Amino acid sequence: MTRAKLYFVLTFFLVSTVPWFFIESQATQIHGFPPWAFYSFCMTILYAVIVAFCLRRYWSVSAKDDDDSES
Amino acid sequence: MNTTALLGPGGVIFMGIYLASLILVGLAGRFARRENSMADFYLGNRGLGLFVLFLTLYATQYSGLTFIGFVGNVYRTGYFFLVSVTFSMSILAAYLVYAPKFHRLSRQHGYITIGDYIQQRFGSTTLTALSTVIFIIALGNYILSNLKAIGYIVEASTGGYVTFVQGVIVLSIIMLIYETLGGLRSVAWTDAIQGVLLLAGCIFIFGVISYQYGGLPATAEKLMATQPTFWQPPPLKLKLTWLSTLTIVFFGPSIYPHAAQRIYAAKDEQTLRRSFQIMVFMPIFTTFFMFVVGLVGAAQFPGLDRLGSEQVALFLLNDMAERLPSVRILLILFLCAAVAAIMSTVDSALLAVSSVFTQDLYKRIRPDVSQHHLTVTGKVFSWGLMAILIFLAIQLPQTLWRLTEIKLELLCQVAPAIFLGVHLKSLRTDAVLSGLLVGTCIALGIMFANLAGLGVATKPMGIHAGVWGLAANFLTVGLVSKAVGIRRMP
Repeated sequence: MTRAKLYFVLTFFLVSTVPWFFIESQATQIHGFPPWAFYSFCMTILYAVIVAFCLRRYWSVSAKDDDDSES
Repeated sequence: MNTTALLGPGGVIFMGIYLASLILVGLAGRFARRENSMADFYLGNRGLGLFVLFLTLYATQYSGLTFIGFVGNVYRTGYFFLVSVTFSMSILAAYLVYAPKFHRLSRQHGYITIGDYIQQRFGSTTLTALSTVIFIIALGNYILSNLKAIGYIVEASTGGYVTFVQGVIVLSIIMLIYETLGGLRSVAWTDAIQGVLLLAGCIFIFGVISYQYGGLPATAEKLMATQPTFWQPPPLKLKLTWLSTLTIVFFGPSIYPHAAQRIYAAKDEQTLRRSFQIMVFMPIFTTFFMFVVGLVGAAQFPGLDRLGSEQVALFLLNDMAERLPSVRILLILFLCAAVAAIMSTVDSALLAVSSVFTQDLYKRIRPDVSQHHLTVTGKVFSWGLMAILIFLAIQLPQTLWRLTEIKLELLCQVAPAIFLGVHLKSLRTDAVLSGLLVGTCIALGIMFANLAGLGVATKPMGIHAGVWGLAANFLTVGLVSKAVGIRRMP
């Protein structure tokens, strides 16, 4: 993976934690959360897993020196 | 302020033992000193192992805000404040962008401060000095707000037996003593104690409150009836605020000078990476647990004002203690964890600001002085700065607290120099400097226009002034780079 792709993935999942597509209020709860908050919480957990994975797998990608074109 | 002491004699003794242990740890840090140098004093001779590094990162990231401000925010805004869990994690993603290179470069060039990197990378004293001033203002604000919080906690804990002023002075002196004794080594070791206390406090308080009040599902049932607004998805403007909050935290706290200090101080790259990997999940056990406490508080004690909402965790623990006296020990744990969270943040910020002043300002004016002279200057600066901040913490009225908001709005303006500078070799100094000036002026312009009542919102279109500034900052960097042409660094 290139550095640009790595940072795109991290940004995409961070932005995805915002409940953009929830507009209508629903009088139901999912494990103690309103549906939109449950979505956001699940995405946050997924985001943590992805960040932890990227820290392990792609640390060297972020550490290396290369041309600007790849950045 | 409540005149009934929250801590009994046993609690006060426990707190006293905890505070005394910090001085002893500071002394141990002094004896562990290997040389009288800046690297040893400010970076613990670059030898922090996984256990201490992780706990110092953890204790430093979570301040009194987590226990007081966050819980109060959840009480007032409900599920919206889930954003706090995400933004606490985003800081680690931000580290992934620049920390791997930072750590390596710090070994190659012997960096002590984040200003060392800026000076070496861009070769501009103006840029370094501007960034340093921003860091000092941001950290000064940070310390000031935490000192005020610690004063209130001590006064509430002892029922006014120890006053706000006495609390601030005594705890500040304790921090200064252990910091002066052993620098980062002492701070990191005391952070390890404080980190354990903080984590234990969060887990136990969350567990007991969830058990006693029925956890999230039972709380949600109550909230659905009493706080129907909590159930509505945030409107678009609030969703933009959500994103703006993530942005400002991603680019702000991730470049705190004390964070950079820990990146430099890690024993090796693997230790640093592993610490971050564990840290990513800590918001679940800290921020999210406090989020649940705030929700339970909103369900159990509706109708509190702003000040009351920030004490809701204490209300819950007091309520339980009245029914079940053995729970009173959790009050001690909560208060000690809150004090630990604040002290670990203040001591780290103080050490960082002292290093930034000594290395990035004083050393550039007097480049020929010895390492011993610089270290002593840093210590004297710490005591002087703390004296000023204690005075301000005592004197500043509550209304001026709003000025502390300037912290992140300003701090994130330095981010392009770090995030872009570390990867783009062609990035020019004049582009970064122009971006910093434009971004800072826009952020300050919006904030002061709002304070002056010129009809400008604190967050125009739901977006923080600092994020507007940051967008202009990045844009300026891009435009100036394009205008003057890309020049390869040798």
